Amino acid sequence: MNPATVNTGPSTDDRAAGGGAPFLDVRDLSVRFSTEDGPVQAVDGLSFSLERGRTLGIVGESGSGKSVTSLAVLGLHDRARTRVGGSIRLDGVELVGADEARLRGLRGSRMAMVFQDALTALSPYYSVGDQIAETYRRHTRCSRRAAGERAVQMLALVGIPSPQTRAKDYPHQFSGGMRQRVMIAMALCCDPDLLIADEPTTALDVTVQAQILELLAEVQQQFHTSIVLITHDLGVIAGIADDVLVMYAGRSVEHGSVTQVLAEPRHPYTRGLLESVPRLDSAVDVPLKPVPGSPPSLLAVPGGCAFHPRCQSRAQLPDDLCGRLRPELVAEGGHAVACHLSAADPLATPESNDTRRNQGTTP
Amino acid sequence: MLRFLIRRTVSAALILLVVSAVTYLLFFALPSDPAVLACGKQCTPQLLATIRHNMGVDAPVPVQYWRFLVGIFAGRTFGTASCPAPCLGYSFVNGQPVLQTLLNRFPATASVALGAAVLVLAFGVGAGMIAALRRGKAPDKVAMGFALVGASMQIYFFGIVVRYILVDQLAWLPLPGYTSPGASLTGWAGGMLLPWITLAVVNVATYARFTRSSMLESLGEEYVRAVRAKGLGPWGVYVKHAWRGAMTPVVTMFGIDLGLFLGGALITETTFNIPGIGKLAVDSVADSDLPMMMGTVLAASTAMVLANIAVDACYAVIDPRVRAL
Repeated sequence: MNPATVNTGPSTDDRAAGGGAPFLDVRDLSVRFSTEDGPVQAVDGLSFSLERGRTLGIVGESGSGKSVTSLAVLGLHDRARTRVGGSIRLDGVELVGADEARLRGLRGSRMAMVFQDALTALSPYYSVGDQIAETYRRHTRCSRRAAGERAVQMLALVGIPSPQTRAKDYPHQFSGGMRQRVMIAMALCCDPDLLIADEPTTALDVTVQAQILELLAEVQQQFHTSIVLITHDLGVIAGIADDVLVMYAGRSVEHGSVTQVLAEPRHPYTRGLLESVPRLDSAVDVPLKPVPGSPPSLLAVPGGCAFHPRCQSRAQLPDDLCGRLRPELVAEGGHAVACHLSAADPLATPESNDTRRNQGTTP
Repeated sequence: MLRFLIRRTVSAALILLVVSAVTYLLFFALPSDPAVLACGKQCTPQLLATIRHNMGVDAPVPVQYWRFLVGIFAGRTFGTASCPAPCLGYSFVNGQPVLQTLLNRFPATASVALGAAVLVLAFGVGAGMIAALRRGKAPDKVAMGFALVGASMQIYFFGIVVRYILVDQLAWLPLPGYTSPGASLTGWAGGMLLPWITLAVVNVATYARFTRSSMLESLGEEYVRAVRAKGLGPWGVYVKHAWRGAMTPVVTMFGIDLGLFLGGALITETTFNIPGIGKLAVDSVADSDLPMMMGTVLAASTAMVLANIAVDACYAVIDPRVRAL
């Protein structure tokens, strides 16, 4: 196994079978931007990989860096204010530092994005058919007519009734769920290999959420699309993801297959997230258990483990270890976690911790 | 759309009614008596009474106003002369029919207005766009610096300085004035250059700043980011999508300014002695020429009201969400 990819979670195993580099390979990604209040390290040392036809769920609270990550992959960050480090390879092509024209050619055609709120992410001034056709024409240089037909075809694919007439309608004339379908149709119209969905169901009500997730799964089946699904909703992750990456304050704190992470969460933050999900099988009067405290400001990330001020398990370790020393991400059977508590586990000795960290940061 | 137009026309008529009534009342609040002015030095009480009667200012003010309104819709007679509808009356000063005078003056006003509007739009929006896209960089600072200077300029100062330098000293521009474009196209454009430039410089600033802030807001919209995520280039992102979202406030301002200009650019026309409606308005106030003044006020407010209707119609064209309302 390639030592550089030890801590990337279970998709490593799939790749070993297929051979070659993973389809999307993010190595040691860092995103830093300057704000009026000072520099912000929005993403720090993030690594993950994704195979064709698989889904990676990225979970975290707002401000954890998950959306920034997706924007960095597409190169949509504000170039004047943002510094992106590390490497993002899409099918072997390096995207970090690639010139704008090259990225423009990839955006919308090989990698596409579904935004959270289709009402704000679709232009209110053009009909949905025009907006889909515009994308298709941009990448295929086909005729207006062919692009229009493609738009109708895509609307039909995502389950919009009477697509021929609906194509002429404007975004505000659609319901929330239908609008999100339009958004997905627009993202898919050039057959992208990678679909980044940033909270695609957050703005929708629960029944519609399920339909949209089902649609994404269907699309993935049909076109063998890789999906990066960004969400704060573990229910969504459980339903659709193959792998899960939990982010906290710009860093990966836990990474593994969906069964590993959800069934045996090893980071106290992941456990807290899981416990905060209301359960249908528990009594109605059991109060919800939120993760105590609030996410840190990226302007002042706590030293040591960024989660330590909110962590209820830190007392288990002596000498305020969590407040002083940042735990490294350590993989264990494809299940990686960044927590001193796990490292204190007899299975993960300090030696293996060190070697793995070095391997992880030198690709 | 039809209902919209009917509704707007009714409210426009009401606005014009109120404006004309207020103007009429204000005129009689003035201390000067047009009949005394017309009567001259050797005025006898009998002569004054006759003049009052002929001018129609001997009746109570509401009755006079009523006659004025009736004249517009049904025509009226002054002594022996009959004035067919729409009758705005005759000048107290030179006896010319008001409507005809306004129509004669309109081409000069329209020339100033349209030329300045084209310049304002081209340079104002252009500078604002460049400033927004190069935010914080040199082009932004230069454009906004000029905008500040331009916005601080007054036509009667800037116009005269520019005229002194470019016309009187350097002779780069011909003398400002109005020549009918039918008579000489180059003479028309030459005479209009200075008024155009002056009016444009003073107004361009506002457009540049409006366009800039509106574009910046639009560039921050999620859908603009989504358009970039689709792989569109600068034209698609900035012009097709961002500008489309940013243009509404600019169009609003442009409509209102065009209405203002078409109603007569008072200061510009006076500064450069352009025989337009604005100049006519200033002169008629100075002469206590009530019918002429009423005519210019009505012309200006009609232009304004029409411009507003046009702006509202533009909203519907620009933004499909408005059409549903």
